[in-house]
Amino acid sequence: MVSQKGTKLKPYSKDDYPMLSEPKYIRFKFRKVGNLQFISHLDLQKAMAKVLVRAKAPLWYSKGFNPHPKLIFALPLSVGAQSECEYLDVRVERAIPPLELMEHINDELTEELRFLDAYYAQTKLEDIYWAEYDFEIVTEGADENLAREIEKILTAEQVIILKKAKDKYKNIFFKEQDIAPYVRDVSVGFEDGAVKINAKLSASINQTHPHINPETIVTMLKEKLGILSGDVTREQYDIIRTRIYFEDGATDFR
Amino acid sequence: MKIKNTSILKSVEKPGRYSAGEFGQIIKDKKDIKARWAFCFPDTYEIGMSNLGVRILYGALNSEPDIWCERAYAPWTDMQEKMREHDIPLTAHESGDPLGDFDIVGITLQYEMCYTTTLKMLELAKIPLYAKDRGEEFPIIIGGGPCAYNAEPIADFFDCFSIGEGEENLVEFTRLYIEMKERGTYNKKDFLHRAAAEIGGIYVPSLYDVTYNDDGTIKAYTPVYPDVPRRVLKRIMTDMDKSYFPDKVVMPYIETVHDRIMLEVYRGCIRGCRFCQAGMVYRPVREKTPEVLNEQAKCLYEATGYDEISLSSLSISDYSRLSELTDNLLEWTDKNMVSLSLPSLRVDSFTKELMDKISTVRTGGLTFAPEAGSQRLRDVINKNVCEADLLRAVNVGFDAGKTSCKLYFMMGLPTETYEDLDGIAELAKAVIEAYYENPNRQKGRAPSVTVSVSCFIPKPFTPFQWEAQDSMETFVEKQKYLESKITDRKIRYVHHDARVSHVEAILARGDRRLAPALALACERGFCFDAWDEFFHYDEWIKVFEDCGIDYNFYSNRVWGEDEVLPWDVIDCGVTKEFLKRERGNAYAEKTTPSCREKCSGCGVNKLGGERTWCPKKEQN
Repeated sequence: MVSQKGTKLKPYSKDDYPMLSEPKYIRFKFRKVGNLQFISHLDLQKAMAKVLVRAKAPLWYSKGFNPHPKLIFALPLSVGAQSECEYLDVRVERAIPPLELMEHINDELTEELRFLDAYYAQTKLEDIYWAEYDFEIVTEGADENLAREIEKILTAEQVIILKKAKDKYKNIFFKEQDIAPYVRDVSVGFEDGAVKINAKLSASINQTHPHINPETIVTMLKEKLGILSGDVTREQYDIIRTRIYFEDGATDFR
Repeated sequence: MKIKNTSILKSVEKPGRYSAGEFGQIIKDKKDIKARWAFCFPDTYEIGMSNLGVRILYGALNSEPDIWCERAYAPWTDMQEKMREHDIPLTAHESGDPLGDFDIVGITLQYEMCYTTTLKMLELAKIPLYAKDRGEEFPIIIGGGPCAYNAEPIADFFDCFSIGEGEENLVEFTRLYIEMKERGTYNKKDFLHRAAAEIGGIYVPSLYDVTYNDDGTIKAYTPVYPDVPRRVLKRIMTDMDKSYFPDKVVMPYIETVHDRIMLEVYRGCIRGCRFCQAGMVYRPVREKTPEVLNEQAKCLYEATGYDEISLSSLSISDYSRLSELTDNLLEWTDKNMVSLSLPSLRVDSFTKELMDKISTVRTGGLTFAPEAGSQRLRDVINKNVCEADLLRAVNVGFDAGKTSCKLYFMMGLPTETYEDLDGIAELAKAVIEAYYENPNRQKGRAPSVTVSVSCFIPKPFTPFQWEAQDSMETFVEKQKYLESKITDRKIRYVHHDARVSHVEAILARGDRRLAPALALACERGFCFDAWDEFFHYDEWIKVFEDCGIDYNFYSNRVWGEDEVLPWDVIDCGVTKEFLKRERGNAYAEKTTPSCREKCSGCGVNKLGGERTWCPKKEQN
């Protein structure tokens, strides 16, 4: 279930690698699944900084009174969502081969948080436009019909969600938002007692276009269909982010 | 507590408390295991994960290949509700197995106010509260930690206690358990008897009969078997350089209270403040060498990746080789962006040199604990600092651009008068004046002084263990008085809730007759009493009254020096004669030199110890 630290790689020092003429970003792709879905984005950021130190990554530190490394996470994942494709840019000051550093990092991680790829970043995280998700819903009375109903809702002309907002007095209210333009390539099926949804949702790192939190899809379905309202020991849902795309929604982000 | 059901986890606050799967957690194959431990911390995950003692003992037990020690924490109230709703028992963090399935359940007792949470954890684990109601099918419940020095109020709920430092003693205890199981000679009663008789530092409450006098005081503690010690002597690790040190650490994924390396520099304290229990029960002072500490710090840095090392000990500036240690550390910490921090500094040791080395001192505010407002009262409590020390220390801070300062005091100390309270207000004022007189101060900024006043609680094994706590009325009156004396708006005055301190005082010196009250408190849903939002004084008083307990008998009475004390069954190394002598010195307003200056003959040197200030015990 949980893997323990494997055999240590041969001892190395970050000083083994030459300094770069200027610091560069290494881009990592990582997985965050299982128990780790319950770790918040803020906690993950803090934990990751420690992981990189343990792995002796040649981190670049900001100059100043309180030096800190530069870590940029692409798309914050909400608590309770898993992912096979998280992206993290880390600024390094030495020319360490990215895949080698990745091995050292994986030596400091458990199975549920694992780095899958590493390379010097050529694109900007801002170029991310779409994220693909698998939803798996186990709810009482789930069947083929429920799957069809869900499909109808998600592919309708308008897909209205209630979005939490605050007025100028900081009172929380809900406003309707049509997310139809930000949902694409929806497919819904019923398999092994679960409704399975696959869809691409608009994703954005800096709000140049809307970022749709996959959790809002589940919330909407709960409200519209009354699903997932029974015995929590038998009903559950999972959300897994599986791929990230450029603007065309077809080319994998890299 | 580990929960596997994701729907439940998605419905509670901070699910990361229960999801486990941390890097560095120890998972063992059950088929290699002869004894399973669940080490419980009766508070939240975030607090429990920050405890150094738990880290050490978790590591020490797990370094035995056939023992598997897991962790357990108290689930927050929202999770407790879910557990009751779905009939889920309390489970251990690593395996997710219910606590009831373990061989040994250890509970660390760090503060009196965790007693209700302790009982709640047993209840959630579906383990009967009273030891006498637990058959062979239930785990052995063993307590430890500072409150074990007077565990009498909760003694009826435990099978036994580990007194003192547990690194060796808990392993020996588990070895005996395994041996008896393997030989087929195990039953709970015989095991506990042998543990009490054969292993140093194991206190089995059920092996002592307690009788009481007509006036409610204790008549005697009598061992029921001749081979059970009349007094249980605490255990210590004699050589701290060689003592078990956890080189691998479980790394929490969620933010905990202390997210940093805690480097234990030495145990014990040379000071002997007369109100301080830690200063007495952790004696003798045993230092580690700077060489060993430097290696351990490096090792922890590589194993954790933390960017801060906290040098932790009771009074870190009393470490005899502090400057050497910090120099060694700074050689590699600075270039690795690791900062050093100190949890507490005495005013007489706060120097410019130290301030430059220590980042928390560099960046944070100034914090000092004069404890009492007048020199007379500081002499009574043996604090051994004077106003000039404080003013010198704050000026070092003001020179460096600090503008705020926090001062800790205690109220209700023995012999305290209203003049002593005036002294608190005057000391705060003197700090403000010192700021304006300091030519190097940050120009154009007003100083701020926070005066934080807690309530004195007489604790077992201190020279003040016989003293009465002030009544609630007196505390409230004194708090109001002090508030009226602090008129400067640059001085902020905060005080502890006297009601919490009152209950704490009752529990601190309580005896076995308090058990029904704690059981009733648990039944009435008490939990997390160390958290303000869950502490309800009136309900506590009602619990005591409903059990027919004269609670002020424990808190507000001056105890007789010849009385049998509930904790006389424990020997913490420091003699009662020494405590009486120190009490006499307090009333004579006479200070006692630190262990480093001159031995005061507390008696703890009978325990031995390397790199200690104690004179070697003469061999007879």
